[in-house]
Amino acid sequence: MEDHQTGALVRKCLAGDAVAWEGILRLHQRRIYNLCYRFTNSPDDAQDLTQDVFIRVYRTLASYDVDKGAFTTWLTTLTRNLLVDHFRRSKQDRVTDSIDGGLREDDEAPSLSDRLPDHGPSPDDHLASQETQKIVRQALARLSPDLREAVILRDLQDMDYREIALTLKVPEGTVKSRINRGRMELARLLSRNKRQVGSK
Amino acid sequence: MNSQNFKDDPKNDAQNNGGRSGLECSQFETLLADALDGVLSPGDQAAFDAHALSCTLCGPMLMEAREGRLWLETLEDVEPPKNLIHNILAATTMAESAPGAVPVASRTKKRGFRPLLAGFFRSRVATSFSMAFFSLSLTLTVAGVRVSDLAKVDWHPTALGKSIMLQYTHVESAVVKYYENMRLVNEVESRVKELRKATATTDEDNDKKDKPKDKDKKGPNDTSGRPEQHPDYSMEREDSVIAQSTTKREGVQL
Repeated sequence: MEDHQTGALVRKCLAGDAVAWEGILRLHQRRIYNLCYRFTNSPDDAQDLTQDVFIRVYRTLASYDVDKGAFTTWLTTLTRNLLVDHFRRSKQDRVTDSIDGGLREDDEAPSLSDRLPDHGPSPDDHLASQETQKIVRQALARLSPDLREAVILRDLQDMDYREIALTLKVPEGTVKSRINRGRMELARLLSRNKRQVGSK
Repeated sequence: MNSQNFKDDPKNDAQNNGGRSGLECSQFETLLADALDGVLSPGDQAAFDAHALSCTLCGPMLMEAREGRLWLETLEDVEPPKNLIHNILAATTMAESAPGAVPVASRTKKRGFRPLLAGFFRSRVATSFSMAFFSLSLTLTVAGVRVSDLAKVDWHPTALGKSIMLQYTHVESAVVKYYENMRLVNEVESRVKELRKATATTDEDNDKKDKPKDKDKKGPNDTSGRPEQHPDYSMEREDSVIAQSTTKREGVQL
């Protein structure tokens, strides 16, 4: 439905309707901003990247074939490419940012594990907790990019496996495998930090 | 390695639990994502559950994947900044298209040429370029180089070297000349000061020699330096008796 609506807007935009362009923006900016935010874990970076994404969309909209594929997949692919570029640019910074790196960064500040609840892992109990969300966001940011983008597209963007496979240009089986490994790695990361708290 | 070979290998059989639930670990992993989505057929779901209960590797794997998925579900969508749309609109339609022009169609026609100059006309680049040009022109002006002269310059390396050496010699001689002039001025100034000092010392000596002669001329009756006294008042006090002793001692008259 959304893609059908966007398809009409894209046609109008290509025909010179400036209002249609704003319509496309309003329809997709939230999803793209969230995608960028989940990947970078930085509101500033997410805002800059979202802006870059739509500037690129604006410049290359003529190359999008309305009849060929879903606009959401095309837009997500474009966003993902920009995110990968962004990741490569900041790779040097991330090399030192290992999974346990955050615990060593600042001994004075409360660690990730310090902020985890003491009792067993029951995410439902902390659904509304902002602190929990922050912890999960940090853990997500420490996953490898391959696993992170897979779980973000599936669990946070609600894309189906076929769309993710098209976006990432890998087979569906690989997508599922990455999603599984990403989820497991996230759970391990959070539970490991919690065990460290228990041993102290 | 296919599933048949996997089952034939006793070592792998122990690890994969292939025979116990009718499902191998590799198959379990393939079905894991669909199982968590709840889209498995009843038969597959039963085999999957049976394997998860019996396998010591896949059971925890299922737990972890489920747990990770639940953690991710806690993340809620964040609200994008309010100015985001306006910024994007400003960066696209307003900045890149002429007013009233079609945003995409008009731009695609110009695309071949525009990106080449787009960076140049950005304000930061333009400011940097103008500052660099200003600095260069100021330096050339101070150094006495005229742009019109550049056309006459012989750009051959030897001639260029000679020209630079000549220019350097000119500048050096000008600097030396200026320095010599300054030194001359300083020397003249110091001489004038010395003369003034010498003149002042001679005057003081002459004054000292003249003073004793003046004193001799004035003599002891000269009271110009003393305060004026009333003549009657001093005369009265000279003969008056202020106190007198009554003892045998000789009276002291003041």
